[in-house]
Amino acid sequence: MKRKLEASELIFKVLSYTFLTVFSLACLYPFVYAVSSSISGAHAVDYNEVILFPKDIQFDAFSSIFHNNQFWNAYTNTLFLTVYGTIWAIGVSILGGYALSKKRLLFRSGFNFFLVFTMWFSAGIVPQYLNYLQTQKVFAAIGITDVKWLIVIAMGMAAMNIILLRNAFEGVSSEIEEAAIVDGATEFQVLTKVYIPMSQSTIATVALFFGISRWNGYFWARQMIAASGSPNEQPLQVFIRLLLEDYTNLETLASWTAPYSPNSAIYALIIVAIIPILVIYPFIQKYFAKGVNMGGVKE
Amino acid sequence: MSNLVLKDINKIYQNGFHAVHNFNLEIKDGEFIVFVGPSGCGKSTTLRMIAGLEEISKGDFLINGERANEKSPVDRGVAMVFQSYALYPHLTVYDNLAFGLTLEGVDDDIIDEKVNKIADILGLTPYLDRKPKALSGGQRQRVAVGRAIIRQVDVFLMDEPLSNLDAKQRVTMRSEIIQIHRSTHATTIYVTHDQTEAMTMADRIVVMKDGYVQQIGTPEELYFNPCNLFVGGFIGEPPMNFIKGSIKGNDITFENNSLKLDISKSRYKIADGDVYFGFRPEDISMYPVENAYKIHALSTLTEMLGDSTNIYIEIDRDTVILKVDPHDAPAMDVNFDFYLPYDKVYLFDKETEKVLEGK
Repeated sequence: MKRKLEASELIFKVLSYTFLTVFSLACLYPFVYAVSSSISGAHAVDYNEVILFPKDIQFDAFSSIFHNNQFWNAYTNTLFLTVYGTIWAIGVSILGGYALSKKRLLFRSGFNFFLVFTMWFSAGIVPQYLNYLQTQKVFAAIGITDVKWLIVIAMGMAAMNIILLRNAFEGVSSEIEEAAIVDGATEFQVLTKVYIPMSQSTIATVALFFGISRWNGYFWARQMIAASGSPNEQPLQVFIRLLLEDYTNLETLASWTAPYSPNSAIYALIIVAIIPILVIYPFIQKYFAKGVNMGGVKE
Repeated sequence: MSNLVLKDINKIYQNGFHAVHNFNLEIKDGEFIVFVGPSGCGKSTTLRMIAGLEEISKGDFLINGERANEKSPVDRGVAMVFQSYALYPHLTVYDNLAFGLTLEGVDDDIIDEKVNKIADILGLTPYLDRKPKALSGGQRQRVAVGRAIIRQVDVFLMDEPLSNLDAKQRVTMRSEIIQIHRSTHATTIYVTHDQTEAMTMADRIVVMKDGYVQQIGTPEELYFNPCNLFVGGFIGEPPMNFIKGSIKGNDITFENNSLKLDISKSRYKIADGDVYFGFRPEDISMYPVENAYKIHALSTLTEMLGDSTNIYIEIDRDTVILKVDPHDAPAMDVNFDFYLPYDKVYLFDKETEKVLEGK
């Protein structure tokens, strides 16, 4: 039989649901607005007539983006940085997190301290900018001059993600590791056949964090690519930024002849840029809720 | 074939804690050895040193005469069953069983054949596609046992494998492990804190306390001839009764002198001094028997267990348990006499707690 809720419980429930609904709508609205604006007619967008649904529907903004070679070039660059960047960063973070999860690691607490220190006390934008330039020089000295590989390799470390993985690995029962050792597993096999499969949820989360940060990567890409002087290397976010600057430029606006608003073009670009993340998210989400040891050991 | 020798094995942790002291044992091929003792006595630590999961601080561990202190677990040819099952939660039962063989690079067809055979023996065939979380405790423990025996190693190590099961499953699994040992003839070292498991399964038992071996022997030797007070009290259910007494001349008296027994009739060489007077609850008779002490008592509590009844009495402030046939059990708060055969009495020195020398 269903228990009748007390007044306080009812009020709490109503307030909770109301707050969550409003919050969800507030998160969803900018996206809906961007979609509507991107496919609305020039007049409706320029005169702020689009509130929620599109008006005078057109797809010319999208069409012009898809016919832009520079866009596809930037898209390919971003895909390169995201795919290789995520694989490299996950690989490095797994090795780092695994090593730090082992109590027998020499100077473990020291390593942990320096790792956490960089997380809490970021150097700030100027030292970071200088660091980019120095990193570029160091990589050039060891023969890595390709700016895309430089970004992939040099940006492959994130303290927060290593700590997340370290904590996940620490959650794996030591008896399961010992069972694998007795079964004949080497240290590397223990990592690949026990720890990694058992930490899928955290690895998926960290991969998503890395993937999004690579996909949305802007500052370091802009600085490094600007320094290398090769505009063909620019990723999507840098391309969007440049286009945004261009579309809001008075000269551009004065000579604008397209049948859609410049804002529609910007929104269309933003939509195209976030679609891959929206597509990938549901596939990764299923790993999030999984526990680590589930049934493997008596808890 | 595996003969194991543990020579003066010690475990001293980095913080100075001395967990195992001078452990000496020779284990013959095919023997079923049980390490038994209370929590923290060093039995699991010793097992882990044998497995190669714990470093041996001092002493020699020999496998077939060859020193194996530095060998990795896999090179020692051991398989282990853990207390918490330690199954791989992301793998199915089939893959859990096949894990060790896969690492060895065994051919898939042979793995398939072996997994199916083991699953058949352990009744796991219907569950081969399930993951551990979809199994009951008993089934998980079967998988853990199966994972160990599939590798056909010479030595099985089992660290309290039944302690997470309910009483009924424990009895079933106990007999299954005995059957598996009989069919494999593999040397087995089994750790438990449950003396019933030790008594029912072992060829020889090693009783440990505070990191020291107390006694090594067959279940019969430990039950009938415990070497000290601890072993006497640990082996047997209900435990052996102990009453503090004092020997003077031929008699033993107890604290308030209400009971006086002619102890010269016991099987021990006696001398004046303080002792623990012991006897097992099941060794008494409710009917007069020859060569036995007649003791008068008052029943303070009775516990009907079905096949027997425990009667609680007090002898000189010490609570004593008698185990009798339910039909012979007196009611509560009733005065009665019972008979304790002379040769069923145990005497332990009060200072050293060691059993007195026999006649």
